[in-house]
Amino acid sequence: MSVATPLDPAVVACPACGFGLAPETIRRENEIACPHCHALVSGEFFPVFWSPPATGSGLADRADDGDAVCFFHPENRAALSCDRCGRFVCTVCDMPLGARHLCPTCLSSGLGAEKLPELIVRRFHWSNSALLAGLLPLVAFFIWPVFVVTGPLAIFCALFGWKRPGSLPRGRRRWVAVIGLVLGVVQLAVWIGLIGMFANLFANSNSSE
Amino acid sequence: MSAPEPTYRKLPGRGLGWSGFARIWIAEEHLLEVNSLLVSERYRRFFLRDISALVIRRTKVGLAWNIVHGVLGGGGALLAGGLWWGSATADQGAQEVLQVLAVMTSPFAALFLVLFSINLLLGPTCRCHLQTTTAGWHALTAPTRLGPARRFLARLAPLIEAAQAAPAPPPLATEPSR
Repeated sequence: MSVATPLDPAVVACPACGFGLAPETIRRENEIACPHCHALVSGEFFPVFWSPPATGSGLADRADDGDAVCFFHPENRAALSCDRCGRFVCTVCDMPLGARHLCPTCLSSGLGAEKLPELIVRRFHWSNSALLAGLLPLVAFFIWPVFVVTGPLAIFCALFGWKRPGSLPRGRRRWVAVIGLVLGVVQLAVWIGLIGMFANLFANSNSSE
Repeated sequence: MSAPEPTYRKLPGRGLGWSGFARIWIAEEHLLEVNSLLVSERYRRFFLRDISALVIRRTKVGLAWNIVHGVLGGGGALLAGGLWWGSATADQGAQEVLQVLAVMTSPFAALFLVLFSINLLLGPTCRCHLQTTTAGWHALTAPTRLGPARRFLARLAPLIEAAQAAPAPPPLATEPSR
């Protein structure tokens, strides 16, 4: 059995079993069966598969007199400028992020506080949380004691998340937060009404005694 | 000084798995795989310049679901029919019990037959695998049906080719002003 290495253009690993397949036989239009696992595969190979980009030696060139030099390594020749701050960087300090090239300082500053959208890996939806907390009494009425918490929770999530960023592809959906807020207020009003009603009943029964 | 968030467009196909609902979006220079689970979203990015191959592999998940739904739906329908037919020949007391059992069984049978039909209409299942120049194969969580996966590839292929045809940024040739 010939197992393909990840970036060998002569063979491509079957995604199911790792068996080496000839990439020129895989086409978008027709499926071929892997001879080893019989999985039916179709697909497309793109220019970088056939001519992978040169990775370089990992060492920066030494700067000569008059050469642009790296901001972080003054002895190295600058290869690029940072797309964010404009500092010159050598090949060692170049941090490619898709088509952008950043310096290590900009990359590390973007890692912490969601400054670079390319580095966001997770988002919490405050508006969806508000809606969920608001809708819970409608779908799970049998756990009614919990609703003393869900009303205030819906209001808190809607208000706290009002200015927070929403989904990365869909954007901020404030209408969802508004529905959650309204449902939370309704739940709270029902609780206040019930407490008032019981307090009234209790007071009436005490006065009649 | 946070950078503006890129504009995303939906690509065909969606998926459902342990990590929630999945969908692939495309921005100017990268794909974004979004896995949403009620109140949170997790993201994975694949830059178009780095994608070397995209392979669609047929899976037998759809077939397995069809067998499960078919057996439960068909079996339930047969059971309900048998109970109803049996009630016609049973005595008075057993007749009512059998009819109640038949009525109770039929909604479950109908539910599984509806699920069977939906699964059949959605078509065969697949898994999309994407190879990058930096990290080998990645299994995408969407699309998971063959038809949308083919449309996904047809829409994505020209964009990847265009991104890879674009020249790399030129090296510096000017002296710095430090």
